Amino acid sequence: MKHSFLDRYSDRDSFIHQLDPRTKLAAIFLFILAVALTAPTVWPVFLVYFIIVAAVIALSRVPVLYVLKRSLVIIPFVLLIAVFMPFFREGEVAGSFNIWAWRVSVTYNGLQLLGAILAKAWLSILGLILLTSTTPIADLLKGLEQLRLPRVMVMILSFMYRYIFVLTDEVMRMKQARDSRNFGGKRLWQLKTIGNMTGTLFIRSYERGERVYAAMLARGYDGQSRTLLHLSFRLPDLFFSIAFGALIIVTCIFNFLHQV
Amino acid sequence: MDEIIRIENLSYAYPDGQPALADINLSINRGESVAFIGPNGAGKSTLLLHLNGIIHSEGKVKVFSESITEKNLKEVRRRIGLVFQNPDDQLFSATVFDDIAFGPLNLGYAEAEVRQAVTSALEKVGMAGFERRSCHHLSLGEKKRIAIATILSMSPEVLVLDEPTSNLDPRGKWRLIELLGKLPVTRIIATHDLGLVVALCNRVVVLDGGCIVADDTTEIIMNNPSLLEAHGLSRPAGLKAALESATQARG
Repeated sequence: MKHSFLDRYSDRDSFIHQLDPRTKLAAIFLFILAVALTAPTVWPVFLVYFIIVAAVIALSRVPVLYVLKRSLVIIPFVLLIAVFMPFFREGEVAGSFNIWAWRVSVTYNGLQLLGAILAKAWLSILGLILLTSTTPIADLLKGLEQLRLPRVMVMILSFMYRYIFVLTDEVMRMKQARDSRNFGGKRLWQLKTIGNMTGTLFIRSYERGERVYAAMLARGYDGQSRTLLHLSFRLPDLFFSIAFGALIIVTCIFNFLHQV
Repeated sequence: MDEIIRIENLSYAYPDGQPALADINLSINRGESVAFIGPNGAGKSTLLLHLNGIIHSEGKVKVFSESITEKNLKEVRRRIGLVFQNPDDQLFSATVFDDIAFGPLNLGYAEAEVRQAVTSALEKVGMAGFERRSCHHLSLGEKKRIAIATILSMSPEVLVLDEPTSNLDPRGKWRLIELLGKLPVTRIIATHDLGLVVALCNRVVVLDGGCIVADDTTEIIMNNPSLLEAHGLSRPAGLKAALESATQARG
């Protein structure tokens, strides 16, 4: 089956694309850290972070619509986690209503917190989309490795990237085979079928793991991994790091000054 | 003749106790092109896994007149390159380059040598310039070629292939056969594709139920329709006969 690219647009050419993956990884990490540390009340700071990430997206020449569309995927998950926040925060009540016997009230503080959580999640995901659409995954993995992420974890990520589509294909084929046999009936029966499919998928993946390992052994694998790493930290990386780092740090300081 | 593989009284049972191979005796010389044919579940793949020590054989398999031991394991696996049936198992790296470089890197080649090995392996399979591509965006035929390149990059003396043409369309299959025919190595091919056998191999070993039931030249085996039929393989001419009988039946 034909697959889309996890790292679509990463083969384009721009100032951001040419940066060393390590520069980008460090920058995004710093960015997410700064966003996460922002107090929920300091809205101008969120705006500044948004302008920063928007500017970098503009520099990278990745289609804006694509970035926006992808970033919306995260919202339902965040909502699911954060939706109860307004109810549990204490403070001035914005409104209250009854659910059966309970009286539930929503506070302004809580709403503010919900907004902040959504803003933080969205800004972070924008940063991550920027990272993956300007860096091929293979380079990203090399960057992580050179940043001393344990080699085992790099390998796990690499296998995940390699096999995620193989697994999706397998699931698709299983679904087609299931639907061709008029899948239906009672809800409980359906659940049972889905459970069986999940189990089968697990066993197949496990067996594939064994075969992959055999293929690795056949090429002299002995538990140690070796790679050729070719990343270079160049002058543009330095400029970018200084400019980006300075911006984030200044905004961060502004945020802390406002809090006290 | 220069004997490179010698198997004596090899038996093997799967971990669950089910017998897979029984009393295999076989000797393969340098420059031969041998086909292991047999129905599904005959033990072909299991036998191949013994050739480079993925399955331990307790000295019953000798390669280059030595038993396979922990010490020579790496060297054995370099000299006897095993290409697995499913390229999705064989190709596990993020890019084609990483996959082909995997073997040479494990063997401790220097960087320039690794790069040289990757380039020349890709050239040999007619896929020059694919280094930066990721495997899941390749077609099956391309994947199969890259899988062979991952072994060629270690400059093996023996190329062992498990079902190299399975699932390929006829054009892909004949391209692959042409490619394999050009490689100057000893070939051992497990298959039930008799077209491939006739095109590439000069010797055929028929396996069934974990035993060797016949071992002879391709010509003799292919001209023994009752043998092929008895073991779930019908010879290429069988196709013609089938067509004839179908035409008769129709009319």
